Amino acid sequence: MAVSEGAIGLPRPQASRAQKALAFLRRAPHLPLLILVVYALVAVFGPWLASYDPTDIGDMNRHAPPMFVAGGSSAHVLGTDHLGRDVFSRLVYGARISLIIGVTATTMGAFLGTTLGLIAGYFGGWVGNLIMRVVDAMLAFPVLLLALVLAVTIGPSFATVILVLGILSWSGYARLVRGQVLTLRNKEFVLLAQIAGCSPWRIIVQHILPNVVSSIIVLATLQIPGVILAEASLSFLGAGIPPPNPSWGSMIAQGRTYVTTAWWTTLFPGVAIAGLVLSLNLLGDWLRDLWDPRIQGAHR
Amino acid sequence: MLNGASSAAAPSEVGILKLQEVAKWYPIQKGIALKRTVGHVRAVDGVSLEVMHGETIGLVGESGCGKTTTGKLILRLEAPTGGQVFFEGLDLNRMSSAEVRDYRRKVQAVFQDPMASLSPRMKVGSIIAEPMIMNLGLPRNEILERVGAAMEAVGLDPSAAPMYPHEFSGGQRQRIAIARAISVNPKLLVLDEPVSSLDISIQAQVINLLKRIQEEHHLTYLLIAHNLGTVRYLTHRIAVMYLGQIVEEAPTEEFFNSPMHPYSKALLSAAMPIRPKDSREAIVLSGEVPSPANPPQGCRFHPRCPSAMPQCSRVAPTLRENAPDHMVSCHLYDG
Repeated sequence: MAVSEGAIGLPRPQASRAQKALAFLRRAPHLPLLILVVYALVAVFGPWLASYDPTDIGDMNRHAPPMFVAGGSSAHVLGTDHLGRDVFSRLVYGARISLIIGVTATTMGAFLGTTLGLIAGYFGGWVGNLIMRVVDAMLAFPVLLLALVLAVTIGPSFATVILVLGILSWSGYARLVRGQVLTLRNKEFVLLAQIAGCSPWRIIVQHILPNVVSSIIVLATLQIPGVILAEASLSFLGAGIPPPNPSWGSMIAQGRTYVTTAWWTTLFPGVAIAGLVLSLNLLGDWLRDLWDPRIQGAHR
Repeated sequence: MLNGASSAAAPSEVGILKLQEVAKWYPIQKGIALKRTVGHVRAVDGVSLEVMHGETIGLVGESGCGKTTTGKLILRLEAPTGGQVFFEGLDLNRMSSAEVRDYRRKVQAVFQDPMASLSPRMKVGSIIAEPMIMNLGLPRNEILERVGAAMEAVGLDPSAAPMYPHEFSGGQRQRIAIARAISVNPKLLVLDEPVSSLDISIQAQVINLLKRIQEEHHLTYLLIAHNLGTVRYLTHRIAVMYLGQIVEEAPTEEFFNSPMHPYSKALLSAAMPIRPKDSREAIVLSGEVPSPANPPQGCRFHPRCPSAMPQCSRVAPTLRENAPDHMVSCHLYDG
């Protein structure tokens, strides 16, 4: 074995800044991002966009059709609902409620679930078992029923809805994270971190969490629409956002009865939810790829 | 302890690592609610071994014989269920936290799969720096300096530090893993199949790198491997494991020239000869390795041994010195 060690050059020239920016733009989801920006702007600047107060029943002009349908007028661009409230104004105000609830409740659930999942996966033992049995119970239980009971007990309000939906959505994250931690825990790089003298806390934060974050983000973007729909159900059942306040879910719920005669009261909030869900899912996929240096390398 | 390349690589007579009747039994559990232990997998079952400062000892044997578990016990990744492991005279499982910290600096490891050994979302520089950050308490600029030095020592360009592991080739990744291991100037390096996953040409480079680093840093190596060629080239001494026990231990050249245990002979005959004309008659073992959960009575090798005698199935042989420094555990050498 008279082979010399051999010199090692740089593996690959680094891409220039311009090339990187180009690659980033190429893979960036322009449309979903644009749609989400529009949603966010609408949520922020809603009061300036809406031509009516969302709770104003006006002159009781019930079920006025949208302006582009025969009989419609530009007074109510997207028509009015069964109480004569302007659908467009309610949609605009609803964006704020739906987005805030979706994002905060999901963040809360993701944070809670990830923490518990990391503990259950890395330390295991009876604590881990206990956490996972609670997860099993949560997944077996009709969450909406539990949410309803909790919301009614605490008393329906904006904060209650966020709290209840946040607390009830952690189990999916815990299960996902625990599974990934179990496989990562025995990977050589984790063993080597132990050998280097890293504390369990450092191993979890430095070596395990970065490898789990992408899955959490993807799950979260899939959960936001679920939370928004759950909020809608709660509102419909009278345990969500108290009635006169607009939320897309309660708009659909209320318009449901009149869908054959006044389809616009359900269609527009439905489209709003669908657009948000689709954009979030596309964005989630994109974020996952962005977070994974291996995929990044493959695309460049 | 950064010695120059001039320092001799000859092993000293001072012991650095000592295994005394070390055992690792994993319980086999049955039942869902009330778990009961129905048996044990005896991954390591009474291993005694002494490693001298500055030497390279090879631990060989087929898959599942307990080599890697032995390595994990030495690395304190697992606690033994029996026996003791001593490092510089201290029992690994009775160390104070300060002693553990000192031990963590002095003992490092390199594993088989270099991709799995490197945290995929950490930059190479941070990967190499981690043991130093954890153990040396140096200021940031000094750590960065040492990262560069460690990368140069293993033949990597220090300017590659801000890159991610996936951007390197297999051999380069293994060099990164070695740079990380030697960054804290350890005394003992556990090498668990360090070259088995690399291409042949790269294997030779990494083996030579390991050899040079050992000479420069006066390191002690515990090499776990199944490739006898690698072991012969790198080690001073060899211990052969079979089903969780050491069956033969001898100086490397002595072992290759006159193996004693029938299992060692079979192992050597199965390895490809360096010169094809040298080929000896092959000893082909029959049967499978028995389960370590239920090892055979008497000598563990007797069901497959070509020279088994009646007493082999009844009495377990012990590891005894049969020639100078040559230990073997076999009834053939009882007389």
